[in-house]
Amino acid sequence: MAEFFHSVRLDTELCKGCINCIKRCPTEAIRVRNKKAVILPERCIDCGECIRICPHHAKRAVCDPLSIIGQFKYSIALPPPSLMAQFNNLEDVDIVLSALKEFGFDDVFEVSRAAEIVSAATRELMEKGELPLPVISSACPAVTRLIRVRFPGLIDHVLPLNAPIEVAARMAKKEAAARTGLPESEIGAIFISPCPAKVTATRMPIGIEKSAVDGVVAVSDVYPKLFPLMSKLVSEGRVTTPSEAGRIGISWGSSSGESSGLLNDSYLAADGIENVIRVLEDLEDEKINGVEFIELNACSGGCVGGVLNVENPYIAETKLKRIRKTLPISLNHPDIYELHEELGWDTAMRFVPVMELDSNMMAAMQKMARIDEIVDQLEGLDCGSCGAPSCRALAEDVVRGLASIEDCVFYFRSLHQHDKTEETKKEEVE
Amino acid sequence: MGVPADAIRRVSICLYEGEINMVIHANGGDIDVLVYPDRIEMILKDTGKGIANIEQAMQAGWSTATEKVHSLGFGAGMGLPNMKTNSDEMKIDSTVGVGTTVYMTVKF
Repeated sequence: MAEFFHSVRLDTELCKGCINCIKRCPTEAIRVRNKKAVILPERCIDCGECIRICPHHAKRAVCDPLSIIGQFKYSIALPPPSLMAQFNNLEDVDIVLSALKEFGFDDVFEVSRAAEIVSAATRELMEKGELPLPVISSACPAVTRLIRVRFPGLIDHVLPLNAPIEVAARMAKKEAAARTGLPESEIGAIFISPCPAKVTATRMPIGIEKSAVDGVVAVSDVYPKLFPLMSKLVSEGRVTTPSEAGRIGISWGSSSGESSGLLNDSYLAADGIENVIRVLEDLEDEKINGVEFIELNACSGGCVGGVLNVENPYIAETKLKRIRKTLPISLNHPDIYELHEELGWDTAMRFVPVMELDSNMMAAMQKMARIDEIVDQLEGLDCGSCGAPSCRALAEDVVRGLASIEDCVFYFRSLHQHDKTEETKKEEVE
Repeated sequence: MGVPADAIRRVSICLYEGEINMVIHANGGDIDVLVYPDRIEMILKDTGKGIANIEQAMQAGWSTATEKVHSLGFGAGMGLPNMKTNSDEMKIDSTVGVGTTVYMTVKF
């Protein structure tokens, strides 16, 4: 299996080895070993749930430093719609775009613009009726990674289009190259990310060989720099960069935004990783009927709920609604065939069987039987003290050779007590 | 284990329908499920009253269930057709007064 890059990392100094993150992880990708959390790289989907839950701030999202802007002859900021929801009383997106230029970017390309193009392309593909229904959105990288490891039967339903960020980076670089005459290699497309999953998606993309995004900085790093510049530009009357996206584009920042851009009522939008899993399970069991499009966002509220944002997701959603009110429906009406290179996937998404006990089914069945035997010997408290999220997960680790049944404190104590009673019996005899 | 989700769903439907049949028509029975690398075989054996006309029993909507069974929401005559639809192979051996054995296979 290929090397894994993950944005979500552990700061071992801050980690106390508690069980908060192991219980929260949707793919059971974390164990506590030697009093420190360990992330199993093949299972992690970079959803950021552990960052959210860790009381010791030991989980972090690794992004690029702001200094990355200086590494390119020409740098382009790619601000997502959720960024616009971080500021108080913002009614004009142009202020944020102008401030990004003032901060040091040579140009700005709104991800909302690309989102409107992806919406248009999705509408077109669905009208042609070539996609298996229901179509599952491919925009949230934590969701696509979840499907890839846990829901192989649903891979065919995933929309084979690049996410707006990727489309934005490709379009922005092409446009800038034409305008400046610089080669695309000297142009840097820097995404301002609300979440770690999007950092990972640019380093290890699904559907394409290499991402056109050259760097990813965190919203929380950019926000404090941008804020004073925005007030300054407004007071000096220097808001000069006009937004080129409408209501459809900016709506992508919160849950059900992408779906509403399809102008089709037969959709379902679920947000929050647990809700997403429930929908995928029901979909796998063919319990969901009459729905043509399924939008899934790993974070509650959608991208406004990303862990790298500064504003409360629900307040952010309200702010997004206010900004949206005055915008036209859409400002981008592309010929999607001309944009085939930007939009389409080059490689199909493939199942990554990281949960499989064994590639040989007979061996897997034997392991499964052994797991059941071990589970029967455990208390069933799912206390996490062994470092695994549940008794069953410990049993699985034991069978995989990664843990010992004696890691269970209750099992260990019962062994020990058994020894003791044997000893006392012996003493009594003597 | 690597069994496709679709196969699990079909096996669940076959076994659910078969189990209900055994409960309402034969007061229960035994089920053996054999898992192979390429298929799952199910053998449902009961010692109930047996099926007089298997062809008729296979028709959608045909039912000999009692009023009580109907009042509980079962006995719509869809059990055997559903089992047929969701399995790749199905065979019924039945002798009136002796019992019924249903063999089903779901392939991956």
